Amino acid sequence: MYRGREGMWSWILHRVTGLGILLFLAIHIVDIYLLGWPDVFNKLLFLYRHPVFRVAEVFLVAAVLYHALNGIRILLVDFWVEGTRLHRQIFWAQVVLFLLIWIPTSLLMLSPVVFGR
Amino acid sequence: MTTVHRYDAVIVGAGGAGLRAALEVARVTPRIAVVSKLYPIRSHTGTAQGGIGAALGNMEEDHWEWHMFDTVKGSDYLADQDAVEIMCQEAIACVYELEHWGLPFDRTPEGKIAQRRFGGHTRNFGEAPVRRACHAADRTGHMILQTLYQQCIKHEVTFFNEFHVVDLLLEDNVCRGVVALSLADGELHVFHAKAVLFATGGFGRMYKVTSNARSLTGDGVAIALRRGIPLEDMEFFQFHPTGIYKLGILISEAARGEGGILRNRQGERFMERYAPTLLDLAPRDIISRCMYTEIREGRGIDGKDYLHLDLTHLGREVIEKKLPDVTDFVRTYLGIDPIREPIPVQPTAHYAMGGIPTDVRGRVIRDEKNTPVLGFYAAGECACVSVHGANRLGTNSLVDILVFGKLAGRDMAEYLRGADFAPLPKDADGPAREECERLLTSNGSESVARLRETLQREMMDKASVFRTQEGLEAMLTTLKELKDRYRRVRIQDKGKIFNMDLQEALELGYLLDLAEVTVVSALARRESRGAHYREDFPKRDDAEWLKHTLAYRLDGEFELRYKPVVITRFQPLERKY
Amino acid sequence: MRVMVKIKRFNPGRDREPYWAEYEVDVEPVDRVLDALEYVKWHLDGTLAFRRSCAHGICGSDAMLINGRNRLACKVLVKELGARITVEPLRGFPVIKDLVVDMEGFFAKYRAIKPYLIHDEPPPETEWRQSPEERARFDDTTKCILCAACTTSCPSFWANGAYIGPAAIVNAHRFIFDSRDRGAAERLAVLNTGLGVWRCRTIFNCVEACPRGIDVTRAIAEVKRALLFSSL
Repeated sequence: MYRGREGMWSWILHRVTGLGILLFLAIHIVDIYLLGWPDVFNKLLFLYRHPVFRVAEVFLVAAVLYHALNGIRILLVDFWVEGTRLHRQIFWAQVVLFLLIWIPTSLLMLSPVVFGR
Repeated sequence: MTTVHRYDAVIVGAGGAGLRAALEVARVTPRIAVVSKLYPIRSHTGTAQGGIGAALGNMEEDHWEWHMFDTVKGSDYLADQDAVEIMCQEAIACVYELEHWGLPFDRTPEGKIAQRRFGGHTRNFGEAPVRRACHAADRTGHMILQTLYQQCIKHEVTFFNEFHVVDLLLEDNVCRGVVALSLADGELHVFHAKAVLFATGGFGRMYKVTSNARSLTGDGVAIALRRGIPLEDMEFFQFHPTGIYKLGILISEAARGEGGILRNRQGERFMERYAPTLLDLAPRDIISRCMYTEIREGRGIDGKDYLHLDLTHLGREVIEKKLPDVTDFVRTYLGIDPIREPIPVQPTAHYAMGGIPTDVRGRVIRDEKNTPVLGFYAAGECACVSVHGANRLGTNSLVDILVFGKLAGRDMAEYLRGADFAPLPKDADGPAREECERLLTSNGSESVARLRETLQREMMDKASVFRTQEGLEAMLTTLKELKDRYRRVRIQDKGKIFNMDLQEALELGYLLDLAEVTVVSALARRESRGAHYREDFPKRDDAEWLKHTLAYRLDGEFELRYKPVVITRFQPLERKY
Repeated sequence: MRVMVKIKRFNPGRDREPYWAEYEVDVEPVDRVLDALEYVKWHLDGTLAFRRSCAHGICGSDAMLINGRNRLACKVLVKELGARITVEPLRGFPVIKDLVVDMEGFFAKYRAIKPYLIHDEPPPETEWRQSPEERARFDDTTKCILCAACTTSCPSFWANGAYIGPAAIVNAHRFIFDSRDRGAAERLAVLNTGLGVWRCRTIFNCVEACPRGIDVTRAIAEVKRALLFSSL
């Protein structure tokens, strides 16, 4: 494995989260399509409340959040004169921002699992 | 079956001189090939730092006559003044031409090419230092090499990269081409040409502590010697004052041009004692000797064999803007910050003033009557015109390669108009093939690396800055022994693909030959002049020795002849700074 | 100090595939990786092949993959790496032998961006004027030594060898932003393709790899912006 740094890791993560979001979108389009079959739809929604899916949703939020923040970073790198010079600092700022948003959000989302209904 | 290529002109070596000549010849014919054992942009020209000297007068008054005087005096009056005159005049046009081709020189506030002070360059015939060195930070050589290569691309010059020339085809005083070893597949190629130019660079690898790249093994110079061409002024080898201690990596004279100072263990600016006017900007041979003297007399740093180059008073702005590469070297290799600490430096083998003798048209000459060899040219460090005489001034090498690269190229172009292909000798690649076979199949016991280490160590000890009769004679004996052991060398790599072992073995052979010529010439010259200093003959002796050495090696025996120095404007005077 | 040097060897005349060879080497901490390689070649295994020349970071001959990163072997000190050193040839170019790779494709890309000053008006008697500010505008990209460390560290290049690569873009930038040059349009046209500047994904490996400290991604971004906004 080539030993890259923030630039390479952030790119890899951007691709992985991108694929993850794509996968979710595919599933979501299918499940919304199932609105035409109310029984199936309701059963599916019930399934989505299962702990495994709640945890999966937390990771989905992580993916979307990371992808969005890094997307902003990429915009800065592309269009701000200082972007390429400061990309590493921007990356670490985005990590901090990510944690500040994702941790409380995850706790909120997982509270039904942790504390019961 | 050996591949035979046919080109009107073949240029051997793709550094500044070779590329400049190629551009000149390319004006008249596309049938030109540049053959280089390295990719062109790896050539040693790229490592030149400080600047190219030309009397543009952009920052203060300057004239080519002053440049000429400085060069002649710097050469300790051994330079041929007709050649120096041409060089200093043409320098100006060459610099503008480079700029027109895009070379990114540093600029003055008015937008002109910026110039800095450099060792030995003065205004008004020695009055005070003058700003004559045109520079691009401390990467001038890199920019020159790139610009010339870029122009070669523009003009679609043909390159044979990683083809190592191992023989010259010379018969009846007519050059017929060269033989080269293709590194990629180990095959020999014959290049049949009407004219050949050698621009193969120097041979600092003879010495242990050198600024020269691994590739600088004097191939062209040794091959010419083996083919009966005499070598001129080989006893004059310049030691640059400021190479990084032990590493040999050069700290450009530009550091002193920007105000850097040399200090001994007492923190004294010792050059005040030796060269009161020019101080640390005195010519290199003088400073190297002063440094050796300081070291010998126990004033080296911690009593060791190095001194300090102090840039700490220059300030961050100057160091980082004007000397960025120097800063990088020192930080990378020594972990030192030049803004805060002085740099350990020692005299370092740097430049060969001697080499293949040529006239001012770049034509190789074969005797003291200046008889030219037809179709054979040389330019750059491997040649000796002579413009540097017994010692070269900083920035003058870049001028030399450009001016004489151009003039040789021009003469070649002219020669090509009337010349025909002379037939190839029978079995043209025979000798080269035999030598390669011998090295590949030999089952001897000697190692190339060990022999080379011994050569380098001994040359540094006995034939460097200070020389004596005993030392030189001992060196000759050592060389005979080394050459004998060389016949029994065994290389490990017997393959055809990228065989560096074979290449290094061939190169060692060249170095041994050149070391021998150097020592023989140095033994004979019983005086001190420029970079050649004999402790047993410490004075310059114009009456007896104002002449160029021509060293022949015929059937293994050395024969020395001499030819007069061309003197036009400046009569030899005592050399004081 | 004793150091273990692991080198990826390959002799196409003899080997079916590349293999790792280990050598125990005696070097000083302040020696360069190049010194370690030379030790191997001169004292342990003379068949080892690698390019080198100036040995101080200017000629660009000895770019290789050292302990997972593209570096110049002559600019990395042993003490930076410790007791285990791993050396491989650059990725993405065919291996000729051991650490020597085929650079022809790399130079072809360099030539493709017309790396020479384009200015057809007759030049003045002296120099073209250029202010220090104009000179500074393209200073960074003049430093390129064509070592290929950047291009061969780029995942976009590994994925598609037809990508023109950071080095070519840097050298185009050097001319595009040189006030004396008039060939910006031609060069930008070459770069304005999917295999040109738009292949760059701002991964930044090039910046990390560049031994000359060039801000490669910045130069690429400037070219992209020039293409988007036609402002130079």
